[in-house]
Amino acid sequence: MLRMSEPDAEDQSLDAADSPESSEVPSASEVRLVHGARNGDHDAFGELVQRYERRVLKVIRRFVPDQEFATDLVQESFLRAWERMEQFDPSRRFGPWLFRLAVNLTYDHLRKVRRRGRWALFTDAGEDRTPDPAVADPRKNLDLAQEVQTVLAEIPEAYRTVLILRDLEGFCTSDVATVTDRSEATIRWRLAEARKMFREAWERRERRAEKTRLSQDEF
Amino acid sequence: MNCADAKYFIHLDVGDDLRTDEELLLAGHMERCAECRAYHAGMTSAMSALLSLRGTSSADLLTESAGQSVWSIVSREMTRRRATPAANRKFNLQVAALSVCSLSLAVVMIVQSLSSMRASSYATDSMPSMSVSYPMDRELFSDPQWHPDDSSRLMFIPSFPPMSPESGPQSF
Repeated sequence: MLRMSEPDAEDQSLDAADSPESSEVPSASEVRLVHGARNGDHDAFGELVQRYERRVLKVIRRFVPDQEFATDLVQESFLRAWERMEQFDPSRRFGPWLFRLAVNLTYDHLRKVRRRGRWALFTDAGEDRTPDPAVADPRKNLDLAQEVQTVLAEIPEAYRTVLILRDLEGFCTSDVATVTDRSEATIRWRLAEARKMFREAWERRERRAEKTRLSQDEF
Repeated sequence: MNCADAKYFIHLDVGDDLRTDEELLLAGHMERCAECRAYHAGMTSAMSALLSLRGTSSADLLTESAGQSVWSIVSREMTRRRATPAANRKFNLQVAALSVCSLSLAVVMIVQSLSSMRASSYATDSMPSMSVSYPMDRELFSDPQWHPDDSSRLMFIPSFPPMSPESGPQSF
C-alpha cells in the first residue's frame, strides 16, 4: 500500500491573505483579532475581513466567474463567519475555517443555480449543435485559460474542488483537507485522481480539436 | 513498484506532492519503464495547461477589485441583522400542518398498498398444485357429521382437472 506524505513545507498556507506562511498554529495577531471578534468587537472582525477578503474572492471566483455573484458570496461568507464566531475553535487557524464556510456557500449557490436550471421551462440545451462548416468554430476564439476552465467543468465537483484549491490556489494538502472537511489521505488520493481526470479530459479535448481541424481542412 | 503505483506517484509528482523517498522510488521505476516515462511527459504537459490558469484570475481580480472592500457592506449588514435578531424566524404553522397531512396520507397509502399486495400474494400462494374437488362428493355438504377440518372424505385430484360435459365448469 502506498504511504501518504506530509504536506510540503514550501506550500502556501491560508494564514495571510496573499503571503504564503506555513504554520499549524495561528499567528499572535490573528489570535488577538479572533478573540476580539468572538467578543463582539466589530473593528477586530473588520480587520479580519480586510485581511482575507481578496483571497476569499479569488477562491470563489474560481467556482463562480461572475464578479457580482462572487462578491455577494464573499459578503455572505463573512456574515456567516460573524454569526458563527462562537463555534470557531480559537486554538485553530481562522483561514481554513473561513474558506470552508466560503466554499460551502459557493457550492450551495451553484446547486441552487443548477436546480433552477433543471426546472426551467426553456433551456439552451435544445439548440442545434450541428457545426456549420461555413461558420468558424467559436471554440477557436477561446484562449487557453477558457479552454482549461471548460475542461475543469467536466471533472466531478469533489475532485474539481481539490484541484482548484491545490493547483490553482496553491493551498497545502492539510489546508485543503480542512476546507473540504476530509482527511489528508483522502485529499491526496483525490488529488491524484483529479489530475488523472483532468489529463484525460484535456486529451479528449485535444483529440476533438484535432478532428475538427481535419474535417475543416477537408472542406 | 509496479506501473499502477508509479502512475499514482506521477499524478502527485507533477504538482510536487511527493515526499523525497517517494520521489526516489518513482525515479528508480521510471529509469526502467519507458511507458511510465511517456506517461509522465503527458501528465506534465496537461499540468502545464492547468497551471497556466493559476495567474489569470488573480490578475483579473487585481484590476477589478483594487481599492474596494466588502467590509463597509458587511459591517452595515451585521448591524442590520443584529437589530432584527429573530424577527424572520417565525414558526410557520401552515407548512407544519401541510407536512403532517402529507405524511399521514403517505402512511395510509403505504399501509393500503401493503395490505393489497399481501392479499394478492395470498391469492397466488393459495393456488395449490393439487386441488380439492368438493363437487365429486356433493352429499358431503349435506352430511351433518362432516366438519371442514375432516379431510378423510375429500378427494385429492391433480390441478386443473379436465371439464366433463356433464359436470360443467366447477367453481368454488
